Amino acid sequence: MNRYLFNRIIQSILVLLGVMCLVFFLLRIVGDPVQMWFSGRTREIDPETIAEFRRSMGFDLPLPVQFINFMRKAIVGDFGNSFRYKLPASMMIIERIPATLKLTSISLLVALIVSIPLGVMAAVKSGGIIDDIARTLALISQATPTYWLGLVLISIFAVKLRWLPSSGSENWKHYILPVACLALSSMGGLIRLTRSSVLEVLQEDYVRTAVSKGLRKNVIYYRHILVNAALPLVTVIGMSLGGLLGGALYIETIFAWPGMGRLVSDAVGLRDFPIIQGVAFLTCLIVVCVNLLTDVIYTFIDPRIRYGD
Amino acid sequence: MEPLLTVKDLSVSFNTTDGTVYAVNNISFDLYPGETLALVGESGCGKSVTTMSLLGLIPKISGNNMSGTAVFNDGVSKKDLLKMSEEGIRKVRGGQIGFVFQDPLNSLNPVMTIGQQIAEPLMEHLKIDKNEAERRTIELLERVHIPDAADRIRIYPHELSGGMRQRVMIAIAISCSPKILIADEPTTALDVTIQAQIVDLIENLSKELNLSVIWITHDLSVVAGLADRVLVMYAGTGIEIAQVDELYDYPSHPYTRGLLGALPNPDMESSKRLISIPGSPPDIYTAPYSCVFASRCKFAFDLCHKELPKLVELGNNHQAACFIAEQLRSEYV
Repeated sequence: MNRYLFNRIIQSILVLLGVMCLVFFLLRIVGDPVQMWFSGRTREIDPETIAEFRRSMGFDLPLPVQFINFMRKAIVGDFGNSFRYKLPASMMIIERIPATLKLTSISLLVALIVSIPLGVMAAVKSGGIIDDIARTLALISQATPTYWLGLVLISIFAVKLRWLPSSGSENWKHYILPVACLALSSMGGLIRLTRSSVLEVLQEDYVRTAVSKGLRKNVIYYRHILVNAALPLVTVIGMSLGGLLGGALYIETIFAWPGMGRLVSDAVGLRDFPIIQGVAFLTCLIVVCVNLLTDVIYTFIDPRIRYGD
Repeated sequence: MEPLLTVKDLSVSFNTTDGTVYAVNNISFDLYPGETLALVGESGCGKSVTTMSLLGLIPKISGNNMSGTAVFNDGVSKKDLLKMSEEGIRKVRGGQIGFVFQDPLNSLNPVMTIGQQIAEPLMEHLKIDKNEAERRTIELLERVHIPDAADRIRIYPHELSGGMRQRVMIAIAISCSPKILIADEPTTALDVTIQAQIVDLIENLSKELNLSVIWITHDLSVVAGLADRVLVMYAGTGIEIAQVDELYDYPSHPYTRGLLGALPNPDMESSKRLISIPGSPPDIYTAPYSCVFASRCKFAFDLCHKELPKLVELGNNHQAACFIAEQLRSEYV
C-alpha cells in the first residue's frame, strides 16, 4: 500500500514536470511573447520601450536559460507578473480558483446524481423505456457542444422567459444555467459507463452466487453489484474533472463567471503569458491531485490492487 | 421413505433470436434424504439448467419457458419450487438448498472478505447478529478444513488457492444447514489432487449433516466413487437412471454404454486409441419427437427415428429410455 502510494506520488511529480516543459515550449512555439504582447496596438510603440520590457521580463536571455529560470520559479509557484495587471499571476489565479472549483464540483455532483442511478436502472431494465431515455440523454450529452448549449440556454431562459440571470455568480439562481450546461456535458460518458459496467457485473458468477445464497434484492444490488461496478467509475469520475475544468473555460466566458476559465480566456486574448502558463499549470495540478486521490480511493474499494507491484 | 424432492416433467426452453432452444425436456427424478444423486452428461446437455431452474436462477423473463413440477418436502409442508413466489424461493435458496458452482474464483465476490461472504446467508436466514455470525463463520471454515480460520475470515478470495476458494464456497453452501446441496461440477476447475480432496470433503459433509447431494458432472469416474444413484442426461433428456452399481454393471441405454466404454482403462494397452461415440449431439432447436440419440446409435432402427422412447422400468429401480433397453440389459445378466 505505502509503496504503491509512493510510486504514484513520484509518477505524479514527473507528470507535473512534463506539463511544465510543455507549457513553456508550446507557448514559445506560438511566438515571441514580447512581440505578441505589443502587436495589434493602434499607437506606434517606441522600440526602446519594447527592448526595456524584454529586458525587465528576462525575455532577452537565451531560450534554455529562460526555461531554467521559468522552471526554478514555477516550482515554487511563481509564474511572474501579469503583463497587463502588473500583479503576480499566481495570486490572481488563486483568487479565482474557488469560483471555478465551486462551479465544477457542483456540476460534477449533479452529473453523478443523475447519471449513476439512471445508468444503473438502464442496465437493470436494459431494453426498456428507462434504457432508451438514458441512451438518448447520453447521446445528446456527448454530441452537444458546451458553448452552443450555453448560448441556447441563455436565449431561452434568460432572454425569452427571463426566469434566470445570464451572468454573474451572486446567488443560487446564477448557478442553475452554468451548472446545467457543465453537468449535461459530462453526463453522457458517466451514464454509458455506469450502464455498461453494471451490465457486465450482472453477468458475473459471483452475482449468481449472491442470488443462490438467498440474499435480498437490495443487498445484491448495493453490496455485490454496485460496489464492483463502481471500480471503473471511480477512475472515470476523477478524469472527468479534467474535462469539466476545460468545459468551465467556455462556460465561465459565456456566463461571465468570475473564475479561472474566464481569467485565462481573457489572458489568451491579451496574450498575457504569465497568466496562461499559471492557469495551465494549476489546472494540471488539480487534475493530477484528483487522479492521485481516485487511485488511493480505488485501493480501498478493490482489495486486489493493494498488494499490486 | 418419502423423497425430499420430486421433480416431474421439468422442461425449460429459451426463445432466442436463432429460434427456441429446448434445453431441458421432461426430466423427472426423485431425491431421497441423505442420498447423493449424480447428474451425468456432456457439456450442454442441460444438467446445470435443470438444477438452476429448481432455484429460480433462470431469470423469469418472457422468452424463458418453464413447465413441470418440483415438489420440495421440507418436513413441514410440501411446496412446488417452480410455482413459489420470489420471496418464498429466496428463503429456500441458501437456507434449504445450498449451491456450489464450478469456478470458485469467479463465484466469489472479489471485493468482500470471505468472512463477510459466509456470514451473509447466516445473518439473512438465521437472523443472528454479527458476532454470532462471525463465531459460526469460523466454525464453518474449520468444518471445511481451512486452517487458521479465525485469521482467515478477514482475507479476500484472491489471496486463497483454488482448492481453498472452493472450500469457502462449500462453507457458504452449507452455512444454514440446508437439506440439499447442489454441486455443479465443483471439481472441474481444480487440479487432480485437489479434486479428490473436494470430493472427500463433500462426501464427508453429506454424511455428517445428512445432506442430500445433487452432483453435476461429466466425469463418470468421479461418479462411481461418490454417487448412490445416477441420472444420465443427453440433449436435455433424461435417458437412464439407476443405482450406481446397477448402472455400471448393466448399462441399458446405448449412450450410457458408449460413455462407460469411452472411459480410459488402466489395463488397456497404451497404443490403443480411446473409444469414442461417433457423431455429435443433435441441435436442440427442435423439441425432441424421436429418440435424441438415434442418429449416433449403432442399434437404431426405424421406430427410433419416429417415436420418442419413454423411460421403462427394468427392475431394481433401473429405468432407461430406449426401445430395446430390456434386451440390452439382458445381455449383461
